[in-house]
Amino acid sequence: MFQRIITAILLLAIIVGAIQLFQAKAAHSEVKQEFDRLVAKVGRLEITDPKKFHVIPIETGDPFHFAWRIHTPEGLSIHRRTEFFHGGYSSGTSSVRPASEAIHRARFRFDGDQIMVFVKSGSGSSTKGYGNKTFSKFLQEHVEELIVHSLADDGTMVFDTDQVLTTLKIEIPEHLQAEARLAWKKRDKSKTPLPPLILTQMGTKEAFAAAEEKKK
Amino acid sequence: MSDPFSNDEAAEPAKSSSPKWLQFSVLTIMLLTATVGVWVAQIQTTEQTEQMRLEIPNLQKAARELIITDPGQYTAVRHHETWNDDFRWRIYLPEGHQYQLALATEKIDDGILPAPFDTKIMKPGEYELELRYKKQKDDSYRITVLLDEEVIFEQLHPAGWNDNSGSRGASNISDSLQRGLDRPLEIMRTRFHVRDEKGNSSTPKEPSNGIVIWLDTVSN
Repeated sequence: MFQRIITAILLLAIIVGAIQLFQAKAAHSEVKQEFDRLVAKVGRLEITDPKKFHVIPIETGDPFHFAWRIHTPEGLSIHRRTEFFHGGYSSGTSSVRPASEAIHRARFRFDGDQIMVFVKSGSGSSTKGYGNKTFSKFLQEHVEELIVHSLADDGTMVFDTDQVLTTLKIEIPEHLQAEARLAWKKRDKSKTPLPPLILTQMGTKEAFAAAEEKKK
Repeated sequence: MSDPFSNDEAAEPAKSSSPKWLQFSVLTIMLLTATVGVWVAQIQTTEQTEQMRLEIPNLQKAARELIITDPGQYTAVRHHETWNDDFRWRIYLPEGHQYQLALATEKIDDGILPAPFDTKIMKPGEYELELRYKKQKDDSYRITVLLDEEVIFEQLHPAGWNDNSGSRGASNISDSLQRGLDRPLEIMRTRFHVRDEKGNSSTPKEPSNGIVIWLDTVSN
């Protein structure tokens, strides 16, 4: 008799559990669909230490379009600097803020003989353009060969706040330097290596000062 | 005399030392295993679902999606800028009203809404709104406003309308926000600077050129 009662209770528990599991799976599938859609859009940034920078790249599907989600710890004033190929640069410093998360972006566009570069870093943005049809064509033809250092391109990365983060550096490889120099400026016979196509960096002022000091 | 090597007890069957209520059949043990399995799976699935649910609001914010917590209010979000002067918003208009989208490009003052240059009646629902603002080769400006990718307003302003001295203000919306219907929802307000005789640029004290886009309810 006692065995039968136990069997009946267990059977009931299995039936109730199975119904609950079925409902839980249905809810899970619905939520997961939405979750996966959003993760595909902006990545999943897991903050493991709120006192550090956390960076995750965002897939854009365009070889000349780079984006990252960046968590900045609270209480930091962040300096941002972008160096452009033709020598210009832009920079800005944000005031001390609570912890924040923002999408940073660097994008190239080729419009006729114009090469346009857009950089968005936090709330600030800058756009630079230079007209050089030959160089524009050269870049588009050799996009696969350019040396691209994009921050955290293997997934979420965590950085100490005493570091300067180089979010993007695109360089022209050695075997293309001569061709690039010709495309950029036909009369330029100098043999000095060409500067990066773009260099975008962020960090605290102290980190930039320390990096400068280290260079010396 | 009894035989010391005989064992009369050996003829009796072996008895378990456990009480009878602690003895379970193979079926009971299988059912117990299945019960534990089903409930552990249910609890784990529920926990994973909850974890994702907790992360979704943050992901929605990062992806700049509309977050409608009160369906009776205006809701608007600006899409991430992927280029300079990339002004795109998603807007939600609650049921029970008709709305007017308005654009003004002249006589813009601080704090007050100018007379609209163009208006468009809108029904409740969700829309994609876009402002395209492009300088032409002859220094004139083409202003185009699109609703769900259809052009609804288009203006061509002559050179001098914006002399590129800078501007103040831009989109009033970035992350998803909600506002009551009791007052207009300003989506964008920018005023162009002008240069004085010394070449210094600033926002003029009197109404000036710029761009204002806003939504308001209209009576049915």
